[in-house]
Amino acid sequence: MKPSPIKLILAHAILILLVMVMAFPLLMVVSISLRPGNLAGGSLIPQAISFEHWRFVLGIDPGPPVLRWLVNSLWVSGLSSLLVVMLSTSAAYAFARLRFALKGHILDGLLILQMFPSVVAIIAMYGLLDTIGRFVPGLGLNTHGGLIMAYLGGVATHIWMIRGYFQTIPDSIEEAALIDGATPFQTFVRVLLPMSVPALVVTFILAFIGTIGEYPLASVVLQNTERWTLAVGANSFLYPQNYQWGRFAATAVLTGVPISIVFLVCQKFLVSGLTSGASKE
Amino acid sequence: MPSPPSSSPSIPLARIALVSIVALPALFVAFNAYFAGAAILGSVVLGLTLLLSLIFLHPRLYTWRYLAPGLLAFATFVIFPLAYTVYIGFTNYSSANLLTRSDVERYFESDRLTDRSREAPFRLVSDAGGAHVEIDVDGKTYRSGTIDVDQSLETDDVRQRIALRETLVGVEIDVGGVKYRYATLRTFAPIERVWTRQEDGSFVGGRGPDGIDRVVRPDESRGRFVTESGEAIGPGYRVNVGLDNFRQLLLSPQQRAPLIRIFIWTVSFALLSVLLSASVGIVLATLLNWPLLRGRAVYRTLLIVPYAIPAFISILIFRGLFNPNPELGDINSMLSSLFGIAPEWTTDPWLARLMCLIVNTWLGYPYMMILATGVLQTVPTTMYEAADIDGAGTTGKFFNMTLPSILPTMLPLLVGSFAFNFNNFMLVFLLTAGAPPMAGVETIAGETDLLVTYTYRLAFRDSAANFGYASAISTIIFLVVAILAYVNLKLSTRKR
Repeated sequence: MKPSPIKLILAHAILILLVMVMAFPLLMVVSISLRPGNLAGGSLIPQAISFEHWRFVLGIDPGPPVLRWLVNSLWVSGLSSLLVVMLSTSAAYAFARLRFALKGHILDGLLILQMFPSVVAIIAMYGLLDTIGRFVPGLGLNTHGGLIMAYLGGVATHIWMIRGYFQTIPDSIEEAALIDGATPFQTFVRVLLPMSVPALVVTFILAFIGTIGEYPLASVVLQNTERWTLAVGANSFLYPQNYQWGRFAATAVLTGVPISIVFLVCQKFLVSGLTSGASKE
Repeated sequence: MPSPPSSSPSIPLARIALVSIVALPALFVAFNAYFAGAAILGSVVLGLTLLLSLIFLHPRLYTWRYLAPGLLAFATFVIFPLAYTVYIGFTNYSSANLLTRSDVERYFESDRLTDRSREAPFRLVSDAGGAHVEIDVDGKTYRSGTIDVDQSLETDDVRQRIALRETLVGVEIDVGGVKYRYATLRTFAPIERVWTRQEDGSFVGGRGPDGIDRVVRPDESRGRFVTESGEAIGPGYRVNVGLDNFRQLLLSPQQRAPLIRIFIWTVSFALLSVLLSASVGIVLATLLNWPLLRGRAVYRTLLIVPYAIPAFISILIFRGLFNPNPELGDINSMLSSLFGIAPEWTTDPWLARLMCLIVNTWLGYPYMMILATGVLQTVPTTMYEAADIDGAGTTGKFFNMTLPSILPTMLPLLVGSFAFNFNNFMLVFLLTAGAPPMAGVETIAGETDLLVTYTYRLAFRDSAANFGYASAISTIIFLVVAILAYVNLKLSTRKR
C-alpha cells in the first residue's frame, strides 16, 4: 500500500492547525506574564518586556504567597491522593478477589452515590469539619488536615478502576502462593500489588488532577490566605473589583508548568490505564 | 479465589497492640465529645471504633478489613453529606432561618433591657470579708456578695476590670428589690430580662409600641416566634417544611420558568460537549493511528497538553483571553485587528454559551483522544487491509469501519462524560459564573448557568442564601444523574 502524498500533507495540515489552536492560549499567557502592568493588551510577542509579575509571584516583591499556595496544593493533593490510592486498592482487592454479602450492590451503590452534586453538600461538609475540629485539632476547618480528610470520600471511581485492573490479572499465581501457605494478605501485597503498579500510578495521577483543581470545598474550608491552595489563590487575582491579569498569568505559568511536566512524563501509563477500563472492564 | 483463613486459635498479640494504638485515641475523642455535650457524635465515634476493632480482630470478618477503611471514608464524606443535604431540602434552612429553635429560645432568654437613666458607677473593694463590688444609689451604698477572685482588688483599675469582666457579668447587687448588674466597664445599672419564659414554651414581655407586654409563640410552620396579631419577633429558626421547596421549584411559574431554561441548557451543554470533544478526539486518534504518518509521537504529546494543565488554570486563562474589551482580552484584540469585530462574549447569551462550548471542547478532546487511541488498538488491522483491497475511501473507512468498531466500547465512557459535564461546576463557575443574567426573570438565574452553578449561587449568595431550596434542586439533579449512572452501569455490564 502506497502513501498518497496529498492525504499525508492534509493530515499534517490538520494536525498542525490543531496544535496551533491548542497552543495559542498557552503561549498567550506566557506573553501576558511578561507584559508590563495588569491591564496591558498587546501582541503575542510583547513589545516591552517586564519582569514585575514574575518578581511578584516568586516572592521577590511583596504580595500574596504564591509559592506557598503551590506548596500547599502539592502537599494537600499529594497526601490525599496517596491515601485515596491506599483505601481504594485495599477495597478493590476485596471486590475483585474475595466473596462477601451484597458485593454487587455495594459496588453499584458506590458509583451511583458518587454522582451526587457535591457543591451543595458543602453545607454539610462545613458542619462536619467544624464538629470534628472541636474534638480533634488539626482536622477541622481552616486546616489542611481537614481538607485532606474530606477528599478521602472520593474513592468510588478509583475502586472501580483498580478492581477492573485486578480482574484482568489471572489469579492463578495468587492461588499457587496460597497453596504454598501464604496468607491472603501476603498474596495481595507480595503478588498482586507488584503486578499492578501501572494502574496504581494512573489512579494516583487521576486523584491528583481531581484534587489539585478542586475549588468549592477548598475555598470554604481554608480561610487564611497563607493556607489557601492554588485554585483558591489563582481565582483571587481575577475578582472583577481587583482584576490582576498579569499577576494571574505569571502564577498560571509558574504553577502550571511543573504539574504539566510531571503529567506528560506519566502520559504512557495514563493512556494504557484509562483505556484498560474501556476495553477490558 | 482465596478464602478467609479458618478461625485461628488465638489473635496475634501484635495485631491487638496495633488495633489498640488506633482505637484508644478514638475512644478518647468519643468520651471527650460525649461529655462536651455532643452525645450523638460521641456515640457514633464509639460505635465505629468498636465495629472497626471487631472487624480487625474477628477472623470471620476478615474480608471487611479490606473494605472498612475505604467504605468508612465514603460513608463519612459522601453518604453523610448527601443524606444531610437531602434532609435540608425538606426544611426552610436559609439566611432568614439560620438558627435552631433552641438558639432562638436562648436569644429570647438572654435579651436584656438596660435602664441607662439609673446607671451607677461601681467600685471594686477588698477587705477582711473578701472581695466585693460596691455602688452608691440615692446616697446609700450597696454591696454585692463575695466574689471569687484570687487577687486583691484596686478601686478603679480599668485593666483589672477588663480582666475580671467574665466574673463581673455574673455579679448581682440587690437595691431594694431591683437587681443591678454589670452594664459598662465603669457602671452597674438595673438590667432586666425582656422576655419571661412561660410553661407552654411561649415568651411574655417585650413591651410593644403601646407599652403593653406581648406573648410570642413558636409558629412551627414558619420557623418564627409570632405575636397574637401574627407579627414575627426575633430571628427565624429551621423547621421542616415538607415538600414546600419541591412544590415551589416545580409548580411556581416564577421559579419554574428559569429552572426549565437552565435544565435545557444543561442538557444541551453536556450533549454538545461530549459530541464536540468526542468528534475532535476520535478524528485525531484515527489520524494518529495511521502508521505512515511521521512524527506521530510528537503530535500526540503536544495534543495531550490541555489535559495536563490543571483545568482551573486553563479556564481562568480563557476567562481573561475572552474579555470582550479589545484592550484587555487578547482574542478580541486579535479579532478586531484582523476582521474589525469585537464579539460581546460576556453579555450576549448565545456568544457566552458558544464560549463555554469552545473552552470545554479545548479541555475535553484530549481525554477522548486518549480513550479512542486505546480502543483503536483493539481493532484488528487486517480489517483495514481488506478494505484497502476493496478500494474503500478514507472517509468511507472512517464512518463504516472505525466508528462502528470503537463506539460500542466507548459508549459507557461517553455516558460517563455526559454525566460529568452535566455537573461541570468548575467550567461555568470560573468562566462566566452564570453570566449574563437572564432577562425578565425574578431569580438570579444566568444564561450560561448549569443546574449545579445555579444551585451553588442560590445556596451561597451573600445576601439571601437559601440552603433549603438549593438542597431541593440538588436532590433533583442527583435523581437525574443517578438514573443516568444506573443506565450506564447496565449498559457496561450487559457488554461484559
